[in-house]
Amino acid sequence: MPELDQRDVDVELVGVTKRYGDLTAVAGVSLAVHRGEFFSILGPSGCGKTTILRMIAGFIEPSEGEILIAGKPTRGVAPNRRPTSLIFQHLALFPLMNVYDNIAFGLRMRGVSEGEISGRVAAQLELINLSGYGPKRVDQLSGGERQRVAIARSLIIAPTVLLLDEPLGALDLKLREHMKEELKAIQHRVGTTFIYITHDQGEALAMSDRVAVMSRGRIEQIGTPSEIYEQPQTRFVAYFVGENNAIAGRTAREDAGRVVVDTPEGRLVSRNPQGMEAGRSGLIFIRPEKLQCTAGDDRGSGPNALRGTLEEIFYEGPMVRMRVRLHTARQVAVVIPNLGRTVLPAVGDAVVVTFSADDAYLLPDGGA
Amino acid sequence: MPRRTAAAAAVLMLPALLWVLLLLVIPQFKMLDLSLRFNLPIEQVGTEADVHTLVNYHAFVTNPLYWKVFLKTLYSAVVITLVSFLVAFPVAYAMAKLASGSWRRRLLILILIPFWVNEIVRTYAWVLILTEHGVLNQVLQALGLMQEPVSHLYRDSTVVIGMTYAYMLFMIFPLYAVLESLDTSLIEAAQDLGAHWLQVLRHIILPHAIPGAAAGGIMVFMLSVGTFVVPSFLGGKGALWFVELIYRRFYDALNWNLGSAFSFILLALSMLFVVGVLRLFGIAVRRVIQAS
Amino acid sequence: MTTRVLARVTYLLYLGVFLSFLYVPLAVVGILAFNNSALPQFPWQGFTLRWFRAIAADPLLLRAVANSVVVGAAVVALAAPIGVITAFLLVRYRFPGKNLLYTLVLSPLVTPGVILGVSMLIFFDSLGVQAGLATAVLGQTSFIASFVLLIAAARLQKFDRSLEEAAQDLGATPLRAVLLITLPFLRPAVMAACVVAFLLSFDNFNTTFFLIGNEITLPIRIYTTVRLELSPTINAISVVFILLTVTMGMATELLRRRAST
Repeated sequence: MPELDQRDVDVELVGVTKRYGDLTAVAGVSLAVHRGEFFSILGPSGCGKTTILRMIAGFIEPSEGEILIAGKPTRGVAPNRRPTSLIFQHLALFPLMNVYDNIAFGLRMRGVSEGEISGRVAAQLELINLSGYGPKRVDQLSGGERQRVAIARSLIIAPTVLLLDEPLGALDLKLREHMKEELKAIQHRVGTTFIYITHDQGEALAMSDRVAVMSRGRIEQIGTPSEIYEQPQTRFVAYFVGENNAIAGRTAREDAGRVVVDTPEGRLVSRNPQGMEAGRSGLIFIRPEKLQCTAGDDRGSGPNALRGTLEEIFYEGPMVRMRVRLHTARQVAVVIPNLGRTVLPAVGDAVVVTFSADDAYLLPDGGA
Repeated sequence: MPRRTAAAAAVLMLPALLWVLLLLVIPQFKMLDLSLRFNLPIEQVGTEADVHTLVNYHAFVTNPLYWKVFLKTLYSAVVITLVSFLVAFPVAYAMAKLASGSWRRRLLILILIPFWVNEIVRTYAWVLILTEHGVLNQVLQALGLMQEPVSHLYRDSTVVIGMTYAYMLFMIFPLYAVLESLDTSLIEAAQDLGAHWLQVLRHIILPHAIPGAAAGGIMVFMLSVGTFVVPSFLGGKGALWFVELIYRRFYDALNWNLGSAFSFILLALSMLFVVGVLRLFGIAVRRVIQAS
Repeated sequence: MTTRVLARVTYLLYLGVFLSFLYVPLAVVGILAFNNSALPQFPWQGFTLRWFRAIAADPLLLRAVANSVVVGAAVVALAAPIGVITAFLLVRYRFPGKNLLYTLVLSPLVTPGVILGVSMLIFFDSLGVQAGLATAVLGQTSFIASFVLLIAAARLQKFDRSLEEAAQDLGATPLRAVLLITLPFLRPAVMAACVVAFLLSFDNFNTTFFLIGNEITLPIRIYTTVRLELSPTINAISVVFILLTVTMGMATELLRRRAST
């Protein structure tokens, strides 16, 4: 990606580490979030993503390293003096205040006149399509309405960065899908930088301009959603983002970005993003939806053919998931779109699973 | 801890420290110190003659009047505590598990109302009942069960009844609180698995009720050993209780040193009881406090 | 089936006996307050309100009630801030000696009231402070603050800290966040605690008895009167006392229920 001018960076973390006693929650994280970007930090719970968010918001001070917001160092700056605003996981709407007072809170703290406040709150309520909701009590709102009020309450103070701590986690599936679109739309409208943390890859991939995948306090990979999904750079990312089949083997030779790998399933060919040399052990990753599964025991199929038995079929509506037991007793998952016309093999049939070398990639075995 | 937080904690600590030191720790140390000194004429206090001694505790051990009253108080308190548990448990259980919504609230209010009535008034009520021309004798005479009215006051047993009446309600509410928190499906599961109701009581309900019983037991015991009103009204001169001994050292006999020794013995007994109950049931103080 | 019915009847019978045991003595006190007889005993001699009129004519009794109100108000003024601030300290902060402090502030709940009274009597006497209303206030505060602490701490534990953080995030200073967000949240609990504190003070005998000196409060006055003689005036004042404390008790119950939602 092209080198960006410092002016375009809204939030920058430089070697940020946070330790609690012996425990290192965040280990030397560096990243830069650009102005107007929807940036997600994706990772399993306990990976340190919330700690990073709370350090940016100012509730926790880093043990080491520096956090710059709009180019200014933030060490020692209290949360109430930072140009950030945080949407809390459970939203933290003030229960004793109505919608209007919740949204007006930030402006009141800044000594804005009540006259101006009423105009700006009304504008915010319009932005989130809740005009006339001002006098409602917070507990009278639906889950989606609460989300939007929380966003309005933060956006009204025009923060440089809006920080979102898994705010969709508590919603049911339908509403979550809807709020994803709505969040993205709001971000387009206001143009504020969003930093969004989540353990839900679907959310991260769907909404973000860029995603940082974290594990055990470290950044594993930063990239666009498609880079993260199609070109994982580490085993963790390959396993954590989306579903993956992995086949271990040893590289026989490599040329022109392709690598031939000897595996218990036979010789397989895949991409070689890390440029691994011959004689190294590694894992070939291939996603279930990139596999084809055909009935029979056809020896004449291409190079990447895995032979096995169809063990189970899961009908999931838009797609059909199959579990194939290979001859080596290893299982692979195959997902095919439910096109309706496909004749599926039956459970117990011998099948051949094939894939294109372009869809598979090899990553080193040991370590990350 | 950041400096801001430490400073805030220090400011918040101030009232707590004043409270604990000036109203609790220093006074009780003063009391202990006084109990370890001779009862001297005022002009000798603070002179060379004012040395530490165990004479007051010695007096307690050697004078049978003192330790017999002490043992009677202790024994009665234990009995009252046990009786209170036996009486209160079915009531608490009925409130928590048998009564439905509106009945539970009604029962709760019916039991709370006497709970809010002052101990003195509740004890006075028993004076009116048990005195020579009191309600009890009138009823007994009307029924022909008694010819000559006799006073039922000034007996140890009367004092025990009065205390049970006055303090058993302190057992009900902690028990009610723990029993209410008992998941009814646990009881049903036990019955479903073939447990007889006695077995359910023994294996499911009672173990769950222990923190509440401990909290209630501690309250009832404390109030029983520490009461002045009940023996004073119902016991009179005929039935002397330990707190009355303390009171007399301070106001009649004017021997504050001996009174302090008695007070300290009572304090030590209370602490021992609390620690003992908690140890016996192996529960943490916090659970007991939550229950009460 | 029949054993079930039998068990149910036995249970109801037990509850009935229990409730009678609770209420009959109180009913005796109440009925005899209206009996037109010089002694508080049956038989019924006719209805009268003269024992209630006698209260108004008894300057000592009126003074006792006034003192009780003053002492109660003073105890609330002292114990409420002490209890609430200490609740903040114990719920929010970690510091060395916290467990010891916890034990000490809760110890008055399991210390016989006479011990509190006696020890403070000795302490104040050594300082040359005369026993009176002020020492009674301090004595009652020593344990009533523990009750306030418990009620406030229970509510504070339910408070979602992220609300305070949200306020700070939106520009409030930490102190302002507490004042605008946390204290309003605590208000019902603090109100309940204040009524409880007043009720406990109004009711207190054991601790007060040693610290009141030559002054009187309502319980002290009733006690000394009963020791002196049995009179229907005591029944009348008891009825008033019951009405006052039960009303306050109901109030605390309502407030606590509101505080627990």
